[in-house]
Amino acid sequence: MKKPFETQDLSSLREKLIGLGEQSFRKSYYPELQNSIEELERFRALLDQTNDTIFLVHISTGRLADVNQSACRQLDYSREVLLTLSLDDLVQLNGNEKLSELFFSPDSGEQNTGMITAMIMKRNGDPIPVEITLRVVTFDENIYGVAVARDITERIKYQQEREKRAWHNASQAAEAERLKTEEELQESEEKYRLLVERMNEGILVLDSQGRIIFTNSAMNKMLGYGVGELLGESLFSIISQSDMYNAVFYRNKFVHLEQLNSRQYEVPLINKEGHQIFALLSQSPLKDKDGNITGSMAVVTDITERKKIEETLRLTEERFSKAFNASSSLMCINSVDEERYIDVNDTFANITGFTKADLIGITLLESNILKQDDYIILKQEFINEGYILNVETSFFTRTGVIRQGLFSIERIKLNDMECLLITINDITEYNQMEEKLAHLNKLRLIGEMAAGIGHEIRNPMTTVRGFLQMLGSQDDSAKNKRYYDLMIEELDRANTIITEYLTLAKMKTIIKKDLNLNDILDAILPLIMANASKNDIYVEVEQNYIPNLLLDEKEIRQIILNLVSNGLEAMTPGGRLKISTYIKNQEIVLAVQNQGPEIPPDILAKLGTPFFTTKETGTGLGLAICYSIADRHNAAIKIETNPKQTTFFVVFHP
Amino acid sequence: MYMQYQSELRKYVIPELIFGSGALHLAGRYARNFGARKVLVVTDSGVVRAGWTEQVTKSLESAEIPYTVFSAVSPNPRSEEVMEGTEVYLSQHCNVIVAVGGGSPMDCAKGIGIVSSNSKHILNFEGVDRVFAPIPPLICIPTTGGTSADVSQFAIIRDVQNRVKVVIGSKAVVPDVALVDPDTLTTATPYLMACTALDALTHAIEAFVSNACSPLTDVHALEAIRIISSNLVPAITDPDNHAVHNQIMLGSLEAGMAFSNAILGAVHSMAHSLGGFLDLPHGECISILLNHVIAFNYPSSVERYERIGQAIGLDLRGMSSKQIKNAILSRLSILRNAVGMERTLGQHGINPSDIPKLARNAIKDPCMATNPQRANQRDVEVIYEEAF
Repeated sequence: MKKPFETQDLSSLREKLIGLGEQSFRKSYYPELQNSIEELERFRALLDQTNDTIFLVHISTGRLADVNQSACRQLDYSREVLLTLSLDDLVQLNGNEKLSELFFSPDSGEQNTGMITAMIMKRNGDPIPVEITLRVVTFDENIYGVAVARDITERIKYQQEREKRAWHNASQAAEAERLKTEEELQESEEKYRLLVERMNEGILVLDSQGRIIFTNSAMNKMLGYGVGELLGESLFSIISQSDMYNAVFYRNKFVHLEQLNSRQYEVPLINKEGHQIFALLSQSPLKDKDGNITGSMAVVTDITERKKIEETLRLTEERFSKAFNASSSLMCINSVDEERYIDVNDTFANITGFTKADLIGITLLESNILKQDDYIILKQEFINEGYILNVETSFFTRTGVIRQGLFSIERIKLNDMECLLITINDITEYNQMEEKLAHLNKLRLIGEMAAGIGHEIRNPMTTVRGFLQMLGSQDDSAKNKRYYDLMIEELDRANTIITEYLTLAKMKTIIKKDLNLNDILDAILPLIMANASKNDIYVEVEQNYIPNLLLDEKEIRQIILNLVSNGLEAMTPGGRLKISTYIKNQEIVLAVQNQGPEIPPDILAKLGTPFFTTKETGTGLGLAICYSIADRHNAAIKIETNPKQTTFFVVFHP
Repeated sequence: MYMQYQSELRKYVIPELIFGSGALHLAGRYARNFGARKVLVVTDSGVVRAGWTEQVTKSLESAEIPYTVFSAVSPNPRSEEVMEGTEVYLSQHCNVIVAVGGGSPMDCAKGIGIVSSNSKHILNFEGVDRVFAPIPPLICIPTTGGTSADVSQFAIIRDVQNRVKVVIGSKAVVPDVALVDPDTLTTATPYLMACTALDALTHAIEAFVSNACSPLTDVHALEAIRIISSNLVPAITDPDNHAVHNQIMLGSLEAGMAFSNAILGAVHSMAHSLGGFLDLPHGECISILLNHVIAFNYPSSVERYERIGQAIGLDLRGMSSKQIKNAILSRLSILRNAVGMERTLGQHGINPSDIPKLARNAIKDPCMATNPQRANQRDVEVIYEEAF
């Protein structure tokens, strides 16, 4: 059973029946016609564009039914005229046959398809040789012949030419044979000549006197000379004169052929314009029949570029080397396989106490700068990660002092060789300072706690003292009175001690006042004198006029005392300490000069660093406090030192 | 029911029409205007015997147009015949079709047109709007007063194997030209006249009550009902009356113009099913079913049926709707009997056990889509049973 309507929605069916469906339109041929026409037009264009001439022939009459544009063009007829003609009017066959008869074979009456060659006549009577393909087709029961004619003029011409050429070639063959032997001889010579001329390398031939007797074109080009310009010139004229010793050396090599075997040399040559060219010369002697040396020949390769690259590389390495040696980190370069030292920088040598000679050649482990355990840990991490960055590890100096370092190891390439670059940042001092800072913090904390406790003790003491005083005034007996007084006295003493202690622990507050530096100096001068005379040192004071400054008296006293006591300690008895104040460049200067020994530069650089001290009992805080006081007063501390004397200047910027 | 569709769009498609005595002689001229190289004349043996085919071919000859006659068409044209005709059309390099005869040759000609340009078996086009490539120019010359295939968008082809009639509906199947010549009715037998005229009357009635009706079609439908109902009996009793032929032909044409655009209803759906199953004459099936379908549809379209009653000449004033219905049904029965159509389905050799199958096919028929009363399988079975 058919079932197209079963599922169809009734209303959509109704819609279509009424004629309002998508496809409900009356037949129209137009779109199809349009397509067909376009297709035909394309096809027609194709036919018209071909170079073949195409004829459609009514078989019954032999008349032309249609032709393409090429036919009109090539035969120089209009289409209208052509359509009045028959194919036989246009085509001339070799025999007496007529083309129109060829579509059907006369015997069988069957269709002929095939190809024939014929002449087709243009309007002016000129014949065109053509190849005609014949076919029979049927449209609407009409039988047509289709003749496609292809112009073969060019092909015939080409064939004729080829034949002519073939004949010509045959006659030349004998002559050619005769010449061939001759040519072959020349050819061999020519081949070598070409070889020499076309080589990229230059060829240079010298006679026994060192004169140039041959150059090839590459040689001339390399030096910028024209053909033959170098002939007869001495070898000297092309060797760079910049190094006469070498020039003589090269001359000996070339002219006197000290080495008879073929050798290569790098020679600085000089071109016509005077620029230096590096060349690689492969030299070999020339000998006559008897084996006597008659001169030499050299193959010359321009290696200027290569030299440049080498130079660049050398510079790069030099830069690396400078950075390597100037670095403040410890650095060493070790081989990859056994970690043998290849190079160490100066810092490495200085800090570890080894010399370069000690280290180079031995392995990292042998140098014993690492504990074996640390070495294994570092090595394991390097194998895992391929590099190490800032791993904190302790290392030893030659004398066995332990130092702390941040180890970094990476692979680098030096002179095409894989190496390890080991960098150690020495953090020993840094660590020590950290420890001291932690200690100081602890002290400060204890101080603050003590201050708190002190306060708590003072309050009940005040109460006790008050009641003692009250009881003392009520008690008339003189016997007891002095006990009361004693108790109050003892309490006051304890209170004073606590107060002083508190003052020590309390954060210092700075009170700046308009004061004169000279007045402060005068005030503490007796103390200084007393100290100095105890050490048998003479103090000279030179006070000049200076304006007032905003100063904290206590702090200024401390800075002066510190500088003076430093000076006294640096000097041997009988020395002279000079304190002076003056104005210089609108700045107010306090100078304390002692006759102690010169301060070494490395110590000088660290002066003022907290806890840095050269004294056995020093705290390392004296100068540090001076620096911080100076800082708070907008002043700077400068130091001048020489073997005779050392001066500390405190320079105030008003 | 009708209100529902009033605001809908409506389309009206009919062929170029020539009506009047001698219209068929224009066949040659029209064929030439269509650029005919060779014409396929589709007709049947009856029409050939009546001499109308020859008249048409003469017209073609006088226009110097070669032609081939294909007359192997039976009543209720079969799909095989369509394919055979297409074979002739293509092998003879025809490019225009002229159909001469009743519904059968015209439907067959439409089928040939469809297959020749769409290159598929005719049964593939069953349904509505399934023909996409335009068919060749088709000139229809009806020789009966009823089928209206000359103006309609339908082609009914019988699938003998499955014993069904296939309805092909497409605007692309509407003929290009209809040459309606009343003279052709002169050779019709009374039975043929009765069958075709009742078919035409039914076209008009179904189109008028169709749910796709419109003012464009109503005017033709009512006019056709009026003309045919008043000329049906004279056409049988006075077979040489040219004026009556003219009226019957005109009525049939107007009925065609109406139903091709307003479509049909249950009568035709059920008749197609019957005709496919038993190969009964189409008009015979129609006449048996008409009254029973009206009785079924009546409640859905009381007002429209009343106008039909007036058109068939009844004075319905003062009557109740039931009375009107009975009056219409009895008038139609009288008409039917007057032209010699008296048999029932049972008398045509239908077996009651065939009814469910007939009903199944009928509700699948496209004409069912425009029946004013929606009918299900059981409704259709009941109508068949009543007509038994």
